[in-house]
Amino acid sequence: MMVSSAKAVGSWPSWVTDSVQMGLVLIDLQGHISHFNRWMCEKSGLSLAEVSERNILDVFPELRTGRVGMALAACRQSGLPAMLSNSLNPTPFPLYADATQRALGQRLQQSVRMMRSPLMPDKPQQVMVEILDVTSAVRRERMLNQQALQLKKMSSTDPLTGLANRRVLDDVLEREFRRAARNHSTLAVAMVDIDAFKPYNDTYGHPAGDKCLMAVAQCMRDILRRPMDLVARYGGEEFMVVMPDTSLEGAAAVAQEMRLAVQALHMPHSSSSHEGVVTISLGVAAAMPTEVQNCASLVAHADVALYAAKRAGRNRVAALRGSTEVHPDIDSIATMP
Amino acid sequence: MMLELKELERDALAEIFNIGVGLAADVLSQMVNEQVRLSVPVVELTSQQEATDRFLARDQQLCSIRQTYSGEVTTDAILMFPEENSLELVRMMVGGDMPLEQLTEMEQDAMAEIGNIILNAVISSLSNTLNLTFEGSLPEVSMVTGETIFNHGPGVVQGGSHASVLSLTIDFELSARQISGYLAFMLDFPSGEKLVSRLAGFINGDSA
Repeated sequence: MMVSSAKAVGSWPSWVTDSVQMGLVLIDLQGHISHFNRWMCEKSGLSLAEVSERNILDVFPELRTGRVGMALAACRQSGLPAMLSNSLNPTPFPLYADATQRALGQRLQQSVRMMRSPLMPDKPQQVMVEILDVTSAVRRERMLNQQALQLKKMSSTDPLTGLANRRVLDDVLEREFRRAARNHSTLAVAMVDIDAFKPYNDTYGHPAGDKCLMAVAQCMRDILRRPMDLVARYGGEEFMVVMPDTSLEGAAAVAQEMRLAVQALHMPHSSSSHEGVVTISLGVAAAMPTEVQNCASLVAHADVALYAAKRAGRNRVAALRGSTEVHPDIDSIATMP
Repeated sequence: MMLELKELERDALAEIFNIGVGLAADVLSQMVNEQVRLSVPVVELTSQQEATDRFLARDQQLCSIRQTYSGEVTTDAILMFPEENSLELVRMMVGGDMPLEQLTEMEQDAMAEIGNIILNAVISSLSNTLNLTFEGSLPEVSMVTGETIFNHGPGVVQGGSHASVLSLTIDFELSARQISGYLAFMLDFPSGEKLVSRLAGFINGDSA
């Protein structure tokens, strides 16, 4: 009864397979092509006579070496269906939208599926290969990706200096703090302030002030070499440097390098008390997260150190060890060559 | 009555599955031109409830790849990765810098392919060793929670108290990173019984 009802429904007439907007290829278990729909002829530029009864590996020799050929062999042998995604196999078959694209060598973006027919008495088994053109989906996704990247960049950078903004800084600080707690490592931060920046703006104007911020930002960024280190704009003329896995001494050395590099830019500053050039002061703090409660207290320590550097005459690095005491070496660190 | 695996049977299955994922790892390595290692450290046959309790966090968002294999033994095979692991895995395989926190349509297709390679390899190994024949469906990817995983989707095996679950943990190593997934074969009672008896026969050296 089941058989007769199946017969009544019948197989698809060929105009149907010739009308679908996807590639359909039928091969026998040796790989010889028995069906090749019109979409395949159009996109491959091959006529039925050119493919009929020929082995698919002779028609498309490049399948011999790639993943699609391997999957085809596996499907013929095991009978298990396979799916080949566009992301991992973008253009396995030489198929083109039209003659222009063919001339340009621009293949259709493809997504491929293959399956073996069920075992039926007196019928040789076949493998069907189904090829979808996913060119527009790929284009759409690329666009989406670019927009998302752009948005991410816009929401994470300070537009003036190109440094990470406060939002990213807060995230990174929080993350590195947790990581240091897990790894029992030391997290160091440096708070940075451009010395006498208000008089600079008053004397040279805000456009010059912006240029000064950009130059100092670039200078500090150039000094950080490790990928996990970060310099961010904290606000106004203040910056913050985050240095994971760094001791207080190590962070103070980096801070010192930054101080000297900014001084060496020789940006004229008439009200500066240091050779008439723009300088920065830096306050450094470092802690194992077990020693301080949260990253806000670490930042507060760096702030205390920064004020110590300011009080000591600016163009200096001050470091705070532990939680309360200004390190007795503050002056020797500050005057490190 | 609950089906159980004897220790020898569990060991034999672990070996069969490790051969399978080893072949899958070869295919994946060739695809990304980098060494991919796969291993199956844990194999368990339990009730569906126990599998849920042991291997799944109820509220965890999972990326699942599902295929049905039918024959003398019929099973719904579901490979699952926690959502963030699936993102990491697919981006390691595909490369590129995708900032989105969810799998895109194309990435879901890539997950389907990766899952298909692993599931087919594991089933082939089972089929070759225990002389079982299978026909398979194409992979389907869906995002589900641990709580609903066994009751979701178009599988043929009815979940419930009589269903057994053959559970495998799968460790994925690529670019010095390790990602863990979980593979569940849902088996109705006759299929589970058949599988266990074939396995016993294989261990005793009977030709199936």
